[in-house]
Amino acid sequence: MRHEVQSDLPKLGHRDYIQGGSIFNDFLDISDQLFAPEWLDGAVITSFKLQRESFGNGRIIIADTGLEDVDANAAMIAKSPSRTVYAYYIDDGRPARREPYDEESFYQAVHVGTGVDGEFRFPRGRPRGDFVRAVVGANKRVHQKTDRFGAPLTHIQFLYLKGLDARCLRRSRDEYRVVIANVSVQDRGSEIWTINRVAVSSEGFSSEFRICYRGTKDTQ
Amino acid sequence: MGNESDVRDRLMTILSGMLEKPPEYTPGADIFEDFGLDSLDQIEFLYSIEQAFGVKIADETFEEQGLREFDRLVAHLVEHQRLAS
Repeated sequence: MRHEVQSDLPKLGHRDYIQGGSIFNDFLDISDQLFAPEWLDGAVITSFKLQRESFGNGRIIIADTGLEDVDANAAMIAKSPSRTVYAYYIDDGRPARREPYDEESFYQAVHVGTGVDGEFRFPRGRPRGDFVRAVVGANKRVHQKTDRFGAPLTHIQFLYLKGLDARCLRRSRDEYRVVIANVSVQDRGSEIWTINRVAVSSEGFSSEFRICYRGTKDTQ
Repeated sequence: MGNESDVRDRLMTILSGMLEKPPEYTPGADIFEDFGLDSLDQIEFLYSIEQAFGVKIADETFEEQGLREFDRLVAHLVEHQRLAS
């Protein structure tokens, strides 16, 4: 099975690129249409990777086997008891519309530590599309605020996430507590690559996944 | 030899998980070119090694010591385990 659609991804707020969260959410929405939303029951997002930044629209491909002939800007693998879903986004350069965005006030209140760590509350009842946007945005903020590397980080980019329990994406009846903690750093000279553990919990629910970022040291 | 076999098996388990299939080993195989890990996988792979073997390998060590070659990586980890014991 290989299903291909033209994307209609927006540039949110002031951004000149298409957010990874928007691509991720389109992957899920198109998969919902193909398989019915129940496909996410018991699913784990094994990986979601941003191979290259996207500045325009293009094609989204959903398949039931991995495609090796696709040079994708972003790719996702999700496994549920009923199926494995492979999703790819290829930027063709078609212009993207601009869409206002409320700048994620719910995670601007993130508590930020000094060691690439922090915590925020994800409010109950928000749509699933906001969850990954909030996690990505909050992780960006903890990278902006850390003093761990002797120089501020700029050009902070979300690269991938691994092992996300799809229950985190359900519209939650309870508020989530989301705790971000660094577990690994690779110092590549002018660049820092990090892996953070993201712990999500609410009443009777807890889950963890990993998220990776790259930042450039601002030595000027 | 037992230790080398164990290290080899554990690395193959890590790689199988990342690649979604067992890598096709040949002597001298390069983890990226022959097994198909991409550049984003490198940090995850090094993190997985850190978790599994308790040894942190820096990117530059990985490149400078030719640890992209599977057999060299096995030898590196076996040596680390020998020194640690």
